[in-house]
Amino acid sequence: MDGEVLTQPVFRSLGWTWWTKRPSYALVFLRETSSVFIAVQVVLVLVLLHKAGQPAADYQAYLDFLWNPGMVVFHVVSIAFALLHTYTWFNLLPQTIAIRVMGRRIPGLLLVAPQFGAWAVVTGLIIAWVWWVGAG
Amino acid sequence: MSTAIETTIKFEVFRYQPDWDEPTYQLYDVPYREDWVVLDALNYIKDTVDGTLTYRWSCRMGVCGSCGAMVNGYPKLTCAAFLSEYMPGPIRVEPLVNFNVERDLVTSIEGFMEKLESVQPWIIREDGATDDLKSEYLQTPDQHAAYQQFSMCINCLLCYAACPVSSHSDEFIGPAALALAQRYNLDTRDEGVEQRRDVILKDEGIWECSFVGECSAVCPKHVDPAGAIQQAKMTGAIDYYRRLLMPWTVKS
Repeated sequence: MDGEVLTQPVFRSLGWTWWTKRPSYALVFLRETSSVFIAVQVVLVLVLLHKAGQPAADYQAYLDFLWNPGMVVFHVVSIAFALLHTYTWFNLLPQTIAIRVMGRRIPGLLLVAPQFGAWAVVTGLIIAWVWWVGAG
Repeated sequence: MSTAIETTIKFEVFRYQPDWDEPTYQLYDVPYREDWVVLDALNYIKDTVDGTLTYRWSCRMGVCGSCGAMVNGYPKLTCAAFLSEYMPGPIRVEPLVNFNVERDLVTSIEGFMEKLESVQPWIIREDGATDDLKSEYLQTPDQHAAYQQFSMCINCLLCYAACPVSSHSDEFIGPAALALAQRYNLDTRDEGVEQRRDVILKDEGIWECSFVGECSAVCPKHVDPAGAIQQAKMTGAIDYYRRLLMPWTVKS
């Protein structure tokens, strides 16, 4: 060996398929992927608002585009992703904010529950508004 | 004369020596004992079957943090992984991922030590008064409770092995070091927030974390490094806007 030090360390990583290796990783991967669908949804709504100010034929053509089978499937997948994203992020809040009262950290439920409550109220208001507009 | 048939469990242990081209897995049959942990099995192998097997361990009670390994693909302290949880086997033991392997189950932690040192995980006083070892800084139980969870880290590095970001970025400071930075930033005796600021807030600091959260799931001391990092993000964001909107409140 002539005094030569043999050190050839091997590096082992989780690799690029890390998200397939555990259910918890897969859930995070889906949560992050959901952002793409939500971003596309936002763009579609912005275009819808723009089209609302255009001639009626343009607006109707865009509505027809949104109702084609491919777009309907996209919207169904998007709503599933939006629900997953919202549910998972709401549940992560207690880790993000440490509020201490009388020296004790408040239970996570007190941070999570108001979010779901507010979500339910806002959803109810939107449904009521859509129903009211539709009925009117 | 009757002979009881001894129950055994099969081990597949990662083997690598610096002068080998490739790592390999070696199979061992280990007697099953209900009260044995994976570390006991490794000690059995080393003592009675193959003395060349190399691994780290010390306290055998989940305090020293030196016996971490991948057990069936999950980062675990081998002193806390009971064989009964893995029956009937086999049990595959590998070195922690996301680190260079020096030999068998021994990884190199030099990179981690540099990252740890970069966040200055000790109490810093602006007046340097801790140097005289005589100063006393009182702290209430509530003030202590604010950072106590993050101070439980034993540097076992399981969190790094669970972190996909660490897997793809050598520069990411990582869960344990960032949790310890947050631990000292929350300590009322410490005045080193500004000194740690650049390291924590740089791209390879807290902002590289994508909140996978697995670091907290595997932590044997319930430190919750993911929580520490997110709380540091919150503080960092507030600090950014304070500097932007109220620069006169920032100490020069």
